[in-house]
Amino acid sequence: MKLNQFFGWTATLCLGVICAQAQDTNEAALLRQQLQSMQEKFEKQQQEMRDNFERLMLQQQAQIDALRQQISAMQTNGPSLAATTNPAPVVAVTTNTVPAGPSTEEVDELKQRVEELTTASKRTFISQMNPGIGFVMDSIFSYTSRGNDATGQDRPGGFDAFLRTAELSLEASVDPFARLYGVIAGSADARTGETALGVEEAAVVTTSLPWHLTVQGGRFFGEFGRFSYLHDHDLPFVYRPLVLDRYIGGESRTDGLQVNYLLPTEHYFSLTAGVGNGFGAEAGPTPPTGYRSLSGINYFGRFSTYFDLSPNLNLETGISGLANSRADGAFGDPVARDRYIGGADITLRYQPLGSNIREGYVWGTEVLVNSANFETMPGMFTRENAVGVYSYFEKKLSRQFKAGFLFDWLQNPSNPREETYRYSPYVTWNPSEFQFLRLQYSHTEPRGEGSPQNSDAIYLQWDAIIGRHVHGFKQR
Amino acid sequence: MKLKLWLFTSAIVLTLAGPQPAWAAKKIRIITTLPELAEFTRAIGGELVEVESLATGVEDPHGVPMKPSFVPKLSRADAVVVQGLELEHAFMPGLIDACKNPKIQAGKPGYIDCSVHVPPLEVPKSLSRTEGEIHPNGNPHYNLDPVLGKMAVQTICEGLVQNFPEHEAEFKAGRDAYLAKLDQKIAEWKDLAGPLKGVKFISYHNEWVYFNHRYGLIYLGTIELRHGIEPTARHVADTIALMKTEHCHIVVREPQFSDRVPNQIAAQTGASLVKLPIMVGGVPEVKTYFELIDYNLKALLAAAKESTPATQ
Repeated sequence: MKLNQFFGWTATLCLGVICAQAQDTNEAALLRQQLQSMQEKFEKQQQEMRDNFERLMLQQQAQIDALRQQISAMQTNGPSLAATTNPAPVVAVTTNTVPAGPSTEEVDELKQRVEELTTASKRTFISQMNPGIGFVMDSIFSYTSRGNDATGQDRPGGFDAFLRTAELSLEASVDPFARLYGVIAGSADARTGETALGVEEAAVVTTSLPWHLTVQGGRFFGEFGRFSYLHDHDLPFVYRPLVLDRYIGGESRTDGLQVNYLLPTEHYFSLTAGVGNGFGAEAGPTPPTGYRSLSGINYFGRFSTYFDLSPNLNLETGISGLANSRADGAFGDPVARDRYIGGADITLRYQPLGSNIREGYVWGTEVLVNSANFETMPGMFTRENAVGVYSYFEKKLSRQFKAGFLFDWLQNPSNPREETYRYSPYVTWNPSEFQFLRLQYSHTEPRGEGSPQNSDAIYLQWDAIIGRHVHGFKQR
Repeated sequence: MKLKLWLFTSAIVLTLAGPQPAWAAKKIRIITTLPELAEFTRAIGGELVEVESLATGVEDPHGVPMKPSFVPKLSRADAVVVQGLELEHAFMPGLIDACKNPKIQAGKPGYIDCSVHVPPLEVPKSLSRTEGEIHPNGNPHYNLDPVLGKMAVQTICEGLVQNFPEHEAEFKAGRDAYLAKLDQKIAEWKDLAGPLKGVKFISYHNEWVYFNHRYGLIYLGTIELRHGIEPTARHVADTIALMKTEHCHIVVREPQFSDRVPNQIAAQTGASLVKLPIMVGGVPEVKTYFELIDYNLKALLAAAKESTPATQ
């Protein structure tokens, strides 16, 4: 019985062991399977990661290649922005030491910023097509030794301060064929102090005519002489030369049409011809009949040329003419009719090329002959021929300072026996290109029976400009 | 005898009436503002072009005299080449307006602006004249960086090709030949300029921003108070103090400016005063663009070598 029990227990134990072994074998297989599965999964993940990494690498390599091509193209043509602003990357790229490429996030961020900037640059503003705008202020402080009842001048004697002019200038292209500019000027009346605003210039100028032609129409300063077409603030002196003031009447303003022709030669020849309703201070012919023939308007013109005497020395000269056979307007006192003005001018400039911003001089002279019929008595006209001249010399003392001397002499256009002499030394200080102060002393000597008295005056001119500022050929 | 006369006459008539030889073909007339632009254009255009520069190189590039004799030259030009970034604002707009040549008006193909691809430096953050006579589009003196000089060469070539596409091959060949020489020199200049890295200097006007970026010099400031504004006594004193603090050894004077204040500053700081041209032709020794960069680098190297510290 015991033996049977022994065998029974032994068999049971063996069976149990066998069963246990079988169970262990199943679990190991399962584990192995799991392990294999995990390995496969891991390998798959690794493969995916490798693929992703390679894909990323390829993408980055493509970006790098694209950048390299750009840099290479730029190096052929010049460097890229990055290469220019920071020289180090240029060296790195040219030696094929490729820097780490930007991450996708960085590229996306950059793209977004570029898009934002591009969008911003495309915004439209209502001011976008506005013309260039400039504003000039021209004011004068002065002391004159005698009252204007003795000198015949507009401004009172003694101490004086006034805003001579404030000019707003506008300019823009009209279309591919023309540009338009205007100057709106405000100034105080010399006697009443009342401020008046007026259109000093408003003209359209062609820009693309063939045969070296330019046509200008509207209200403008007609080309006559050397300084007549310049605004007061562009003059090298405080006041316009006497002869231009008395014979032309200040600026050569006219409402009309002007054609300029640059001769097609290797030498500089410029020819201008124009017609206008009035010229300078003349209000314009107003015949009582209300009808104006072609002879009733002003004709003017100028021919000028230029010579380089040496690289540093040059000479410019010109002749000008104005004709108005029926100048019934208010010019002179008494009224002038049948007016002709001829003029010649010469300008010698020494401009040492290497130091012309701080050294050099200019000498300029202009002579005008005025011939007009003056109504000395009702219905009685007397032709008077008068001559006037101004001459000035100006030297650059430094980049900021210039000093000069202006001499004026003229015969009274309605009475040539009356003469006026004026001597005016002056000095100009330009703290910058956009501002200047000028100190001028003038001694005026009218001569002749019934002439105004001698006078002395000191002027301080203070001018400044803001906004658009151009260096025009005429203002050179 | 009659036969000989007939043959002689016929030969002359045929010669005159026949097709023009290549050498007699009309050249393309190009006007440039600066001498180096003329050099680039000649190198690209070769025998096809006739090039003249308005500036001779000694002028202030901002203030080249507006001579009427320039007007006929521009009026007959087939194209004009400018440095751009408003470097020539004081004379070119007036001359372009006066010359009445529709081909070379700004914006037309005949107006070749070499700055169009230049990434500008010192673009002002605000357009206020409290900063002086600033250039709204950035500092225009990029011609002093030879790598940007390459860019100007490329732009001129593009401009010429656009205007005269029939000569594209010749222009590109001229460009490539010039750029090859320039590339070689750029590599030499890079090595030559090595000791200049970190060298401090001041100059009268800031013409050196691109040059400094290329060669790693440190620019402390201008003798001018602001762009185009002459220095005040206070500014000169501040500049001297700054140079002493920063151990700055070099004062650069461009030829167009007076040497009075630079001399004063150099004397008070013990710094070397160096006159550096900013254009080809600026000093007699500099007749080409290669000589311009060479001259400036060597002059600065010499100054850096011999100068003594500014501190006292």
